[in-house]
Amino acid sequence: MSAPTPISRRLVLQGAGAGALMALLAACGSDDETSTTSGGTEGTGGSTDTTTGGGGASAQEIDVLTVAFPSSVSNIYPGQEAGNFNYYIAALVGEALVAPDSTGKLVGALAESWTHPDPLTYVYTIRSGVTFSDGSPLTVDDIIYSVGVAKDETLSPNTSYYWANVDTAEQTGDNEVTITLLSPDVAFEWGPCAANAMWVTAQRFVDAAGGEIGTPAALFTGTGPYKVTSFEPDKGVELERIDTYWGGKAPVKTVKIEFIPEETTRILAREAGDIDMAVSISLDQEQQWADTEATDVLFAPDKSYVGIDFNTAVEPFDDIHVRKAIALACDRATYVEKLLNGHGEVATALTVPEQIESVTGDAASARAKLAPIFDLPYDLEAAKAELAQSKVPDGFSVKVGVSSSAPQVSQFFQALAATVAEIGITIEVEEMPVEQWYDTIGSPDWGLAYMWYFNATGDPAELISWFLAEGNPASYTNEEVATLLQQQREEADPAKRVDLIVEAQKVAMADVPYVPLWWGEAATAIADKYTIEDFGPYTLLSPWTTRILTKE
Amino acid sequence: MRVLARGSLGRYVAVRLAATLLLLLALSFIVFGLLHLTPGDPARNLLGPKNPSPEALEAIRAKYNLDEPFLRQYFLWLGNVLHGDFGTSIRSDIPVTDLLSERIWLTFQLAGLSFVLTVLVGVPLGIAAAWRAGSTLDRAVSVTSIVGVGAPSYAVGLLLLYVFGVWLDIFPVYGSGDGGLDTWWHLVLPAITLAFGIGALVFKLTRTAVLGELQQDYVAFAYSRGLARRQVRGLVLRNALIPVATSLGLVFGFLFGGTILVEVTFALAGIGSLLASSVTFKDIPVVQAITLLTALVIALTALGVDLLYYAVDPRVRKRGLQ
Repeated sequence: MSAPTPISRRLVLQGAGAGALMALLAACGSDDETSTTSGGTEGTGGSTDTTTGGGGASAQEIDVLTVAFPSSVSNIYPGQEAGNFNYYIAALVGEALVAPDSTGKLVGALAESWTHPDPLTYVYTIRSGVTFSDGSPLTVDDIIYSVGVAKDETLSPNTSYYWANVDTAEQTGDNEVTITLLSPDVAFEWGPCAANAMWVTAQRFVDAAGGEIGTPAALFTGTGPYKVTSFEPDKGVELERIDTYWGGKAPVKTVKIEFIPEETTRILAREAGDIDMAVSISLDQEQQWADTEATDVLFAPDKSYVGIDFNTAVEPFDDIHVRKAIALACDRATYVEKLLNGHGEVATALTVPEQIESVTGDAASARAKLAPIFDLPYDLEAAKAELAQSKVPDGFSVKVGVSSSAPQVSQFFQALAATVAEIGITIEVEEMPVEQWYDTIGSPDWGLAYMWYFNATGDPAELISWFLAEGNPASYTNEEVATLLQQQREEADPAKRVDLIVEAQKVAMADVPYVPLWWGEAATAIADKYTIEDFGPYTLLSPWTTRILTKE
Repeated sequence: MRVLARGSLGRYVAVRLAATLLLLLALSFIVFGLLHLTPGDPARNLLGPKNPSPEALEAIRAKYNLDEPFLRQYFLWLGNVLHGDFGTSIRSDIPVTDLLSERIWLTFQLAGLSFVLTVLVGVPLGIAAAWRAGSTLDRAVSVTSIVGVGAPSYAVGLLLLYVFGVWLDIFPVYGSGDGGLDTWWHLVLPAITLAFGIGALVFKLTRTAVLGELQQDYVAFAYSRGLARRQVRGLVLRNALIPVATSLGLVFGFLFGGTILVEVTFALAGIGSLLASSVTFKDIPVVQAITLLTALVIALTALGVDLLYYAVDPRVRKRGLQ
């Protein structure tokens, strides 16, 4: 899931007018029967516990569940288009060898079990009795073919990089596939996972569709609990339950995913009872969602990281005093409080806590591990002193490009601009379409930039293997960090590996190439007669409709 | 005289069609060039911002000829179009003709329904207001029309959605339904939204035209010659409606090309919403096809309007089209 667009490619047309109109509409609206539930962390020290799925709710047959997504997908196969919503759809139809459980720990999916006998070798025992949605049995050949698909640059441009280090995938037993790497990399474990970079299909399905995957004509045939019956970009996707699914029959028979780009229209559709659920609701309109009749809003961390990138090869950001001055001027706790309404937490590292919880054991210890990595407090006097020591003691001017789909980031930079104006730094915020923002990342034209990144995996090195490795957007190089990165790739002990990952970030962040701002939360609205079992950061990346419970 | 006029009409149409083709050709080059100049790289957009591998970028660029020099890219595209191949969308990997076929029909229905509403409401109200200029009706409709021209279609759409979709629960809130009558039912609120602003303009235009004719000398003469009120009105309408009728053609072009906001508000998969996302994505084949199609519809409507002018105005018939 490399597209770090919070509301990816979404047309953001609602402006101030939307709020005003909604206030008007709310004024003529009916009585509210609402509750806001927090399904995940609330500030530091929280956990991915759940307030749902407890007593009073059970898996009952639901004929149709209508779910509204805030933007369309062009292809339902994430190898072709890797936005969040492509993943949410693919999670219902496709599976791979392994899958994350609700805590982010990898468990067997199409592989019953696997072993890792040496740093280069992964041996998977394939589950028997699995069928594709057309009823045909899954074979070892299909798994090997699917590795080839995931690795193919034309069929899967978005996942091929993940498989570049794979040397061979071959059958080594009746029900056994062995994958051999070119060089050791523990993070590979997350490769054959439908939350990341593999969806098992069969060659006959791809051939029958003329070599295409995921288009409205080709669709996608996998082994998941649903099959896609129709897909029209900008309109929606319809899925039907596979009653013979190896993991058991899902409670929801038909899932209708509707693409509704306008947030206020989504709210009205829920108000009219036309939709049962809405994913990735806008935090700007959180209150309107909460005020919608018979609707619950669930929050959970979404494993997203938001932070400043300095291009350390561009003046004046090649000067650490300049970078520190800006970092010290960031009042991160206030941003989380005011810009996110508290739905997020101050980030202290590039790694998000949910990626190490399964290793450290709980949420609190995960946060404790990450806390010392970046802890520059808000201190404008200190910022001024840093700037005075820099090569631009009187200040400077800089522009920053912000995607129009990231209103909170735009507000953050405006707040920062107001703060640093006091010490002589002028920041000019330029809003642009998300695609143009891509071009600002790591560009020499944009010394000041930002990243909003959604981690797909539970691998704690996911973001640092981009942000601290060669070709990172900060143009940052450090031999010691490079050595630590290499060591963590080879470290098989998860606890020791986390320590190396933390150490690499500590060393790097002392040079302030990035300023972590916040780790985000995503909100999902759902009809209050339903709830989602164990709603957390991995829910929508696994077959989520199997977890819809009906309240009693 | 008539034969001569008809001959010149045929030549006129031929010349206009040839000019339209030239216009489309020039437009295709301009749009292609502008897209080329805008920042962003479609291959990178497809792969997202995370360090795309050079091989994956290369594979995409080669597939869509993005690695060719600008002029060659354009002529490759043009050559394919002349063979009826509009290419494949970079974003969705779907042939452009497949991508557009259903969407055009939906946008066409939306614009058509909106056009009918505009004409059925704007023209009679304009005539009625002009007959009774200064009356309560005239003042009320005139004030409403100012609101109509000024109100953003986004706000009008949401208000209609709330009142008729949620509160009164008559019309569906989003989407285009299951085809046929269901689709028309789904298009009622979007069509009203789209018609609101332009309908107000048509009202004002009609009122002004009728009022202008009523002040002509021939009206006073007609009355003084003892013609019945109904007959005089017939004369006035025939003359007043010539500019109105011809402007309606442009109204259709405007509606067809102006559906973006309404399509987004009502979650309709038409060509407007597709154009908006394709422009920012730099999905060149799709943008080219939609702009050319919209330009063609506008050009053909304009031609239709001129022919209508020819049909309804004897002065033009006599003078011949130029």
